[in-house]
Amino acid sequence: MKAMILAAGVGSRLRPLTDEMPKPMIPVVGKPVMEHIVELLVQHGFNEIYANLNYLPDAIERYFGDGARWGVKMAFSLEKDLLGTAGAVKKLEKNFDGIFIIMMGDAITNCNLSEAIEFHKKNKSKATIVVKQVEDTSQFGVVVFDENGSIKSFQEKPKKEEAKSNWANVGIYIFEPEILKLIPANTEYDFGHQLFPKLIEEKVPFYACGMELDWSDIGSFGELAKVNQEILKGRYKGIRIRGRHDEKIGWLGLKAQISPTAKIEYPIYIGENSKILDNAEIKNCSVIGDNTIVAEGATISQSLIIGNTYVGPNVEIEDSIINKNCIINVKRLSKTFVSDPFILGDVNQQNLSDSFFSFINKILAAVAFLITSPIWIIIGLMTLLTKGKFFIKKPVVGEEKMVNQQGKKELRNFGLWTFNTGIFFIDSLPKLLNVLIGEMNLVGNCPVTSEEANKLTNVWEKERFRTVPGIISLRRLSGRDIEEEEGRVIDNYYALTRTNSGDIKILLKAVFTLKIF
Amino acid sequence: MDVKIELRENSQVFHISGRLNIDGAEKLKKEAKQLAQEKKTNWIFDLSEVIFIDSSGIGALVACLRTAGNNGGDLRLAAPQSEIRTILELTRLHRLFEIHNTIDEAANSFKK
Repeated sequence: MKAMILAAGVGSRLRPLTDEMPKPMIPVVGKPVMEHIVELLVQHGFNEIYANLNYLPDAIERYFGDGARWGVKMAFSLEKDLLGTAGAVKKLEKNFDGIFIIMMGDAITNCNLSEAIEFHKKNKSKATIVVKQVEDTSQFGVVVFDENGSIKSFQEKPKKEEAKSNWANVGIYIFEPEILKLIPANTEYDFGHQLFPKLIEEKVPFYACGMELDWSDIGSFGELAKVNQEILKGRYKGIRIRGRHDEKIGWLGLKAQISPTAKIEYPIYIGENSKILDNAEIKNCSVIGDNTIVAEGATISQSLIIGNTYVGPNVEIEDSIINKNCIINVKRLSKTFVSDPFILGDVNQQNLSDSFFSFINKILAAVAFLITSPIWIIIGLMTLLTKGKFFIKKPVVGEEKMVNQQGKKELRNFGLWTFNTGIFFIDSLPKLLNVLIGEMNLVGNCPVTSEEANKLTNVWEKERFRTVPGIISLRRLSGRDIEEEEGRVIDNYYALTRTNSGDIKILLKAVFTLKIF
Repeated sequence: MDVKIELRENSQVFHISGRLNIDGAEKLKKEAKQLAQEKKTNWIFDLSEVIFIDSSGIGALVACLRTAGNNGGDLRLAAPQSEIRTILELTRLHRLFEIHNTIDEAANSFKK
């Protein structure tokens, strides 16, 4: 059987988490929401899964690949312009030749899909919506149907007193392929607002399957925190938590380490490669994501750490969602960016070794300065003799820096020193001064002027500003005849993959190929 | 970062604005030391205009608390923005400092 997962949403209410990952990739107890959906589909015998992607598509495609890890065949449909929920399915029409199911990639559930399909077949339905009873109808599309399940009407987010039913649509649809004929091709088209009213109007056999199930669309930080805690407490039966279960701890991912002096209160979740150091305390159904370090004496209570995060010594975290240097207080709904990597930070950044590396850069720059000193003297003399201006300082921008605790970032301004002789190799020499005063590294993306920086409008193009700028760039080493677009890709690639040892390799390559400046 | 000191009857208010980082921390400690020499150590740090704090800034707050205490006074914090408050909580400093919502509230706490 085939399934389609709608995974194109941005998830703007979960910013800044969704700035770096699409909503379907947000982890719930250690794995992306969408992976929970894929596993549910696999459990119920689906073997071909399609998904439409739009926002940060490569993150999803890279993670799921061809689906072999889950024993299914997966394929993706990239939408450059959003087609709406129904339009996205229409685009893949040729793949659906029998009964198929549609699920949301950003909602977690333990729905018994087999039972819903049984219901659909038994009623000879052409389209079936899974519904669940809710207390508060104001957050849902409400479905009104008769005793047989045949749908009569819909109500969009009615107030409790105005609601004609308390059965909510949870975004799980079962369709016969002929339903797709009712959707216009290549047009933005929505299930709730367009297709479903049309099905009622045209009297297509259209049923609601009322079920008891756990469901959440993790639509807010509060929901996200709650779902994680509920799963640890045993709700969402059927959902699989990755890792090994321990009666005193909860769940432990591969290579997770806990110091014997750490205090753990069951049940918690600790992700892969994460370390809980001495005297740290983890309690109240907290979830620690992958690759996270909780340092000595830190306390984490009723909180969710997304992953790749360093929590500094003695730091205290309560009722919060943390991702790297961002802390979201779920109760106050405040978002704070912490600039200090020793309090809260990204484990992928090597802060300590960076300061040592910057020191090495300065030493090498000083050596290069000494070696090239005769050139400096000659140019100095020429300047004196001709009274010309050979030494110029050009305003440029470097890496992105956080300017306030609301997470606002700006590019660092500084002056780039150059000679003005017209000979490229010589003109670049004074950049060594920028390295000596710590404004640049030897290796890095070339600094650009703020006008040039403003031209980089795509999200991926701005990644180049993650790293400190340098004299020798990977782009320069790649040859002079590359296109601007290609150059931007190289800058971006460098910024995302740079390591100190990689920089040394680039430096050596530059020295040996004499492409120093 | 900028510090302006307002002398009140029972207290001295430090109106701190901008980024409380390593440079700001030095400046703040210098100002505090000077007041300590004049034996005026009922300090209120008005944090309402502080938009940024890091570990050196936090270090300065702790150092000033110690300076005030050693000279028979105390340091109260007033009106931090929610982001700054989050960081004070994160680093457990909300237990070390008395934090007031307004400067007047902090000033009154010295009169008692």
